[in-house]
Amino acid sequence: MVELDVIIKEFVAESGEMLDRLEQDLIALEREPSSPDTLASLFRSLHTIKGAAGFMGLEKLGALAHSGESVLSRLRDGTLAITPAIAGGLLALSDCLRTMLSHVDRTGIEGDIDGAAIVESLERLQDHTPISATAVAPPVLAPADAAPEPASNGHVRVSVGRLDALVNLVGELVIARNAIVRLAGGDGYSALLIPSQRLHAITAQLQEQIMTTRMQPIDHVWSKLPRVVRDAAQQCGKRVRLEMNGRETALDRTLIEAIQAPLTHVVRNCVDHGLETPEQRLAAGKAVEGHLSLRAFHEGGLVTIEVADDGAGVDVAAITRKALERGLVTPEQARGMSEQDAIDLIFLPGLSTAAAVTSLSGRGVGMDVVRTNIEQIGGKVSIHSEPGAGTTVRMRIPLTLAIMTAVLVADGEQCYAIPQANVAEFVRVEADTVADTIDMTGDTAVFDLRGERLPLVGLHAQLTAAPESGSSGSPIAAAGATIVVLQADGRQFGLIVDAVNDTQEIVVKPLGRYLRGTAVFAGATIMGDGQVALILDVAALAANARLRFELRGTDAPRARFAKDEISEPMESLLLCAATDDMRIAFPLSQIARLELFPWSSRPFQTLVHATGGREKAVVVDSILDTVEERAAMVRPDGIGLAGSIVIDGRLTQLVDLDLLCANAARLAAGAGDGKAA
Amino acid sequence: MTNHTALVVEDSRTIACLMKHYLQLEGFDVLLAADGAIGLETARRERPAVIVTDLNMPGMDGMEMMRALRSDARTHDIAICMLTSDDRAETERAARASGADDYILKPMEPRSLAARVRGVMERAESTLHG
Repeated sequence: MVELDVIIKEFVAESGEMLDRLEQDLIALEREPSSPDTLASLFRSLHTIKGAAGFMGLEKLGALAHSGESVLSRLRDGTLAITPAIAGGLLALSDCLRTMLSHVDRTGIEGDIDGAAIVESLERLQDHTPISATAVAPPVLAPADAAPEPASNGHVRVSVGRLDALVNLVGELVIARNAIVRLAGGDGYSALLIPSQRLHAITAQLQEQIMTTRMQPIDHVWSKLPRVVRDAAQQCGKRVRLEMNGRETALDRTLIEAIQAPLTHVVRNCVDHGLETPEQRLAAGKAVEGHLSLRAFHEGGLVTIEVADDGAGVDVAAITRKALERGLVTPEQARGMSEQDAIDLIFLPGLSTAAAVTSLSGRGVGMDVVRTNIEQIGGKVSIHSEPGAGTTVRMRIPLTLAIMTAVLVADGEQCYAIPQANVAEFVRVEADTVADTIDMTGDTAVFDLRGERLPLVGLHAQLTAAPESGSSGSPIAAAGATIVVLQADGRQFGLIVDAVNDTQEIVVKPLGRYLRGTAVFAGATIMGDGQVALILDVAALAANARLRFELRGTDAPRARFAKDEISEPMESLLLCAATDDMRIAFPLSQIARLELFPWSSRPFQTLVHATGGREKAVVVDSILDTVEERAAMVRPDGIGLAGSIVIDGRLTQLVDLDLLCANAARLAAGAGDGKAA
Repeated sequence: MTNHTALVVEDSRTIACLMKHYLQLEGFDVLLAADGAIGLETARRERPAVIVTDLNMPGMDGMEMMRALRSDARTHDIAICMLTSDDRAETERAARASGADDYILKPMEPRSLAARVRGVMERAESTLHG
């Protein structure tokens, strides 16, 4: 039996969708005033709300929708022409309907919201806006049912709750799969090897498919933006043309909700601060109408959203001046900053860039909040600006929050997971170099990372509730230290851990109620061996340790401005074990496929490299993982070693397969890193 | 065995959902269809005892669907109520000419609507079998 509260929810949801469409249509109508399709669609939206409201016994809602409908029918008949005032009136009506709807949603009744003023002003507008003979050609009368789209029988409506349950279940399945795969890799289970690999592959596909069902096109957020742009442009007297590309780009619905606020803020910012007034634009020899472009696309397992304007660009001098005025940077730091560093100052809390604080996007909340919001969902924001030509804000966010790649670190016996998005690099400091690279500034240990000063935090100290001691210096001196360089809020710090274990796809579970008050954990996950690992919240960790990035004078960098990630591409590497417990890594791009090669009693793991139509297989002991590293190919030695990097806190030889295979004979004669077959 | 199935052809999800609720209270098994084409297909497949259809719908509208139902041997004897906010006499005439057994104006209190739908079905049954 359908329950009445379900019907109310359905009504609120359906009407909300109708109002979304209404707003889009109104904005479209302002551009193309006599489009019969748009008029018909507008009419249908309000008509549907009115009809449903009548059935629900929601009289005020129905009456309000009815008054809007009569304006629309005059627009449709051509006895009234659309003006910004009428469009504004209808948008106000839409807002009022939304307020009523949210009241209905919460309480089941309309409440005492009064739409009379809106009805009145709409009537006034109709009376005083006679149709001008030239303004609008009488539109072709469109039937109200000018089919928007053919209904498809190939679709089933499924509740979001059920999808969430499926996502959770597949999460459990992944955990169970990991346990099986782990067992099958051990001794005595060789019969399990092949079935477990199939289980692995099928589970991965199932997981991907199920995650896809919960994806929604980004248009769900974007559809609200034309309204935002219109209102912002009207308020600051600017003319803006909005262009959207990639509306169908899909991401998880939980993320769709999370990006709404930051995206709206960025868009508003662009209109408010980015684009110039029509006069300024004319003076600069640009088109009067500013151009705002939204672009979304999938790239390397992430969704990129770009908001680009063709305005004046970021005023670097003004920002630097502001930052100096507010003591956010020292004059010395300001002098040493590159242009990009200066632009990135926008992300500092408390830096408002507009000359005057406007009602739209001033008030001191700005890009720092945007960045915090985006980083909370494992994303990154960057700004690119060209003086006079415009500004581009680029947001890169993961496809889903339910599953993430994490680095597993150990504190004693206990394992913790760190979202890989927060991890910049790993550094191992040996006992004999501690004195040269780590020094104590007050009670804070600072590590010298290639000339940059990196504040250090001890994981153990943080977890054993001794925040006043900041970080501990003593364990470092004794045995050296493994440092995970973390980034959050645009700043980097080092986390001292006992060991770095692995990277793994983890399924994020919310924390139990009793742990939720613990700020430094973002969730929990269950590992393949059944062990529970808590997921560290990096930003909270930094805050909890009271890291003072803004120490005194020039020797205390307030922030290390993350270099533009795009210019330093991450390389996917396949991490393998070779003989003598040595670790080697190969660029994944050079590997055609992996094969188990039957050789005497046990199969060999091989990596197949294909070049010029010929294939060569490289034998390794075992495949450990794939990792993303900033791995510049350096020091080519002629035999295939491309250099060494630290992965998981261990020195790893980076091998260039192209070179290696080309020099197979030489290698086979000497080095023990691998054999070419 | 008596057929207790009602088919609601309605593009507004709210109204469809509401009607389902009240028709279920009236003892009907309820099927929903979002437009005329789906309605027609469902009617042919499920052969409901009564169909309640909206007039204005995207794609195939109520009038067109009714004509198709009436000209199909599988569905020509199903009772049909047309539900619309169009109160013009000529629309009602056209609807009845196309085969509507009843013409119900929106908005209507859903409970009495459900009772009226039951009445239409029972009348149709008695004409058929009595």
